[in-house]
Amino acid sequence: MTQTSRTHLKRSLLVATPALSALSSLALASAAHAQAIDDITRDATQKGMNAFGMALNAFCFIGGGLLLAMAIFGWWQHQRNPNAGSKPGMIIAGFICGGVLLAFPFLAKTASFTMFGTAPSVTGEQQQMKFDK
Amino acid sequence: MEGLFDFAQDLGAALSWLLPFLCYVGGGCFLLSGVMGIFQRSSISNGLLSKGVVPEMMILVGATFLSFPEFLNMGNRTLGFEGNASIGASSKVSFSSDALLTAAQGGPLAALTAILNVFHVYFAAYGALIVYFAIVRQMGRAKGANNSSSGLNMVMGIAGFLVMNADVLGPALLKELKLVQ
Repeated sequence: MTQTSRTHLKRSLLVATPALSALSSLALASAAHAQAIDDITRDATQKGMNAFGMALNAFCFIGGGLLLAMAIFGWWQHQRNPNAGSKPGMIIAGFICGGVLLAFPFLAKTASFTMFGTAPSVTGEQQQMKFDK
Repeated sequence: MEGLFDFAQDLGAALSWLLPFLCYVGGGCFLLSGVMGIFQRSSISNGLLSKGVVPEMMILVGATFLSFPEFLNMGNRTLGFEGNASIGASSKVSFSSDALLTAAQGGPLAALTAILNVFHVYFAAYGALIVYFAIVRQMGRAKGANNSSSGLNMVMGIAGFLVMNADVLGPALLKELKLVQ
């Protein structure tokens, strides 16, 4: 790089820097607008709840189906060779737990009724906890 | 000062959005882990088998989190407080400086009560969060994930309820200590 091109570069940087900073302060002004932390948390938790709900749904469907399939296959294997290691206890637990996973809302409702006598109040919908006096 | 009070109320509102989310995620995970733990216990020889009734406890804790307002109300009644937690559609809290100005003329007790009232949402939500984490810690202890003591977790839970009701406790303590008439 020659001397002249270096000074040219310096000069153009000299012009560009204040212009850029002025532009960025304009651009950031809208982003840095005072946004209440409660609104941010509400939006973030809404997204988190949606994501968790979908993951839970997928896990219960896939996991429950796999457990049932495993239990049926294990039963078949147990009939073929009882010494192969697929224990009857595992097969029965596979049937029960697979069924429970596929009917997961039933478990949540029953467990909540057992503890407090009411349906679950946290249902996955966006809600706010309130404290009255 | 008004900005600070406003910020405290915003923080309280943020925590009260966060709590149902945590209860949903925590409760759902505990229920799932409970079911999987029961399956593990019969399928492999050393899953949660060596830990007694941990999967069942996980299901109960999951149910507690899914009905967390009921649990908080039960705890409040047990400790003799009248605060009531519920869950529902959003409502914005607003702060007006007039309440504080009129309370400031009514003496120290009225002023303290008014200030604690302003912080009420924040204290209540923060206390409920402490109770939540006390239960999570106790569950972690049962699983063997942490080395916390049961007594400490119990104190944490009770202290959470006390923080929830700071606006009742503060003036009551002042009266009890005979600092105000």
